[in-house]
Amino acid sequence: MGFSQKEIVLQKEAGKMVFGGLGVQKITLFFALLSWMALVALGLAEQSIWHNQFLQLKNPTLVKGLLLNVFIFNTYIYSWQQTRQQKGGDFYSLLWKVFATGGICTIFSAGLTGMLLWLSWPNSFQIVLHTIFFHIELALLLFFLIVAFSKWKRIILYEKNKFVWNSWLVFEIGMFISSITHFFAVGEPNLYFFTAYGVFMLFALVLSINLRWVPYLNYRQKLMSIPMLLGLLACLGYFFKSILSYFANEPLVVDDISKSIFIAVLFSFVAIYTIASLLVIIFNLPTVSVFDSKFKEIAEFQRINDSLIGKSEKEIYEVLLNNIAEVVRTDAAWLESSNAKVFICKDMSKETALYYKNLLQSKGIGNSPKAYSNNYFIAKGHKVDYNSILAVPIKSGEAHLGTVFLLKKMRGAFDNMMVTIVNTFVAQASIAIHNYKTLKSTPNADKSMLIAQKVHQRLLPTNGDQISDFDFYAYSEAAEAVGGDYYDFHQVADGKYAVIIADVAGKGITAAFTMAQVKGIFKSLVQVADSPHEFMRYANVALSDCLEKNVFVTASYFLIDTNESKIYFSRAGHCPSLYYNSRKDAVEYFQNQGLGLGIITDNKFERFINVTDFFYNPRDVLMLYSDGIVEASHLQTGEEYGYERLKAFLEANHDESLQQIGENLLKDINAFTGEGGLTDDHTFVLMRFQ
Amino acid sequence: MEVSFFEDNLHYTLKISGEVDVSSSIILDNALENALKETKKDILIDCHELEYISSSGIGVFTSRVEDCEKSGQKIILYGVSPKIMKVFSILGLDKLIPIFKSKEELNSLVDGGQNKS
Repeated sequence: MGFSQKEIVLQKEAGKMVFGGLGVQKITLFFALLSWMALVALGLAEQSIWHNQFLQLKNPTLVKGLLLNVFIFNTYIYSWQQTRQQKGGDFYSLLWKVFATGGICTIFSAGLTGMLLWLSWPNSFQIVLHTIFFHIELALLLFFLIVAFSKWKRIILYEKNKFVWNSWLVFEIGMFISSITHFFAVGEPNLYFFTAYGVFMLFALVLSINLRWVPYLNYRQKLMSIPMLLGLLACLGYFFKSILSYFANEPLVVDDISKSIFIAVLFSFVAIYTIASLLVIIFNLPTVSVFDSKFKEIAEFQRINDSLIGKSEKEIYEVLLNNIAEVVRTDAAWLESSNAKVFICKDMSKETALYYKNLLQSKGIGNSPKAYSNNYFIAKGHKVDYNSILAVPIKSGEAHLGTVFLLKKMRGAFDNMMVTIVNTFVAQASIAIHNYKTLKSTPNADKSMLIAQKVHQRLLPTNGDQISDFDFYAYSEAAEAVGGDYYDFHQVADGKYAVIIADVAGKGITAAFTMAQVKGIFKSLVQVADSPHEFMRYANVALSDCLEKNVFVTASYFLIDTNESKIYFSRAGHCPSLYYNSRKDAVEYFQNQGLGLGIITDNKFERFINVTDFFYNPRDVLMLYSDGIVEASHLQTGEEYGYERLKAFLEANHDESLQQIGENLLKDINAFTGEGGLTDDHTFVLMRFQ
Repeated sequence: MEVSFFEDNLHYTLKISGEVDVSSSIILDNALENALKETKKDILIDCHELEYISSSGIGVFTSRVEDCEKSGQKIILYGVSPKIMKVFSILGLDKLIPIFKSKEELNSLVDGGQNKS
């Protein structure tokens, strides 16, 4: 099984980091520089060969091609490492980097060319300079092109689909193959050259359609992008002219590089994508205002949301009407609630509103719960100023709260978009009104909760005054208003008592309902069950029927026979009870086995029932408790109060009165956890025998 | 709480990390239901990173015990911390669901089982 998924992912990340780190960038840059310098040296040697008719290298083209390719690939890896570290969505800074690289390369190169023209050197030295300058310019151009290529790649592959990814892969592999031609001498560009070039350009055009990044720019960035892209084109133009000029006249520099299909494709691709971006941005500019106004609508929406909180119903209606009127730019509007309590008009008098309402009603549309839209509203024999009418009902669930009427003078004024916006606004307001009504009715919910709390308290017995044969003290507190802890007792016969403690999984209302059921089960079974075994068996059957599937109940059931001074008990998954044995003067936990109730539904449960019995001594103390006691945890460290502390507590406190033990226990727990550490339902029952 | 899962030739493993309380127990329940739907293999629950499990979280396992018994699948817990082990054993679940402290303990049992067959 090896690693978990998470671990594998982590290792991958770590691998990426090592691979993509600074190490690679330094190495590639070093190799690029090294190969370039070798290229210059070779070029200089070649010049002297040309002029002195002196041959030194057997196969200069192969070596030159190799050096050139080493330069190209190292530069590419360097640039791609840098590019992919950049965040995916930050297109503007990607573009800026391409622009900056292009600009710097161009300025540097232009400076050199100027220097070459301006200064007149001795002729022999001129040739050397030419060679060096040519190589510098070539290196700058390639660096610029490769940087642009890798950034364009990043942009094109943003949110890529399979088609784009595949075509890019083919394109890049094609470029890789084309770089192999550097190893061979290339003659004049021929048909093969142009066929291959044509295919490459086809791919470049297809890839250039991927301009998804443009809409992500904001208006200012788009404006700024235009001069940058124009600048890039200027850089490309400069390099095109400058490099060609080296071959224009009598070739001062002998090189086949300008005929390389690789460089031609690289150059053309960068140029095509730049032009495509430029065009798309320019054509995008006019639509920017539309986007901005959409964003404004969203912002407006946010505002309406905020402004609706804590408002009365009428105020919510007012906010709604004003906002809709503003966003949709109505000429007039009114809103009325279906109970006729609210009637708000905007940009019109109530009389006019009623006039139109009558017109609508005569057409069978009044304050109806159905949406109504008429872009060419005419009423025969009546003067109509507003030709477009839109009526949207405000609903909360099935209830019809009211209707918004929007009027415009122009015909055909409400398009689908507007209807959608109005619907969304109205839906939002409906929620606000619903919330307002719910909030208003909360006091009732609070009252119900109080009643529930009282009922819940009545489910637990008051302290055992009815028990005369032994001392009994119990304490229970729910984490919320009601809870899932339960304890109870019942006198079965003279001198015979049943005592139960139970804990329903979970807390709050759901647990409390189950707890009430547990009480019902206890009160009925205790009458018929002769033994703890029988009680547990029937309790499990009864609970299996009424519990939800993932809820279970833990319980401990004690049958105390004071005539014989004997206790029979069984534990069903409940925390082991604590017992102080006065004869041994020792405190211990009962160690018997048992499974929670409601987990196994069939009669296999019986196998898990264990009943233990023992004789008690006078002054023995039995302590039942729920897990909220032992799991009370330290507010800072999270350490639990735990079984050991509870045991030590009873060892120190067993001689106190039961009530005193109870009070001390709560004090002890709070002292350990800090005030408020008892966050779960917690219950304990103390018994002292005579 | 986080639940991740992976499957090999022998088992389908659900790894639980963090704290399982009332709300996250629903996520756990969905993950387990999904697992039972997808595979007929035994389901291992990796509890190495389980810090706390509430009774509702335990309910997720108990509610599946009988279904699994019928389908012949087993839910096996391993990597259970002593504290959580105590919670399970008090509840009596250690008699119902195989629970192991470590992967080694579990493997020795699985290997033993294979040798027998």
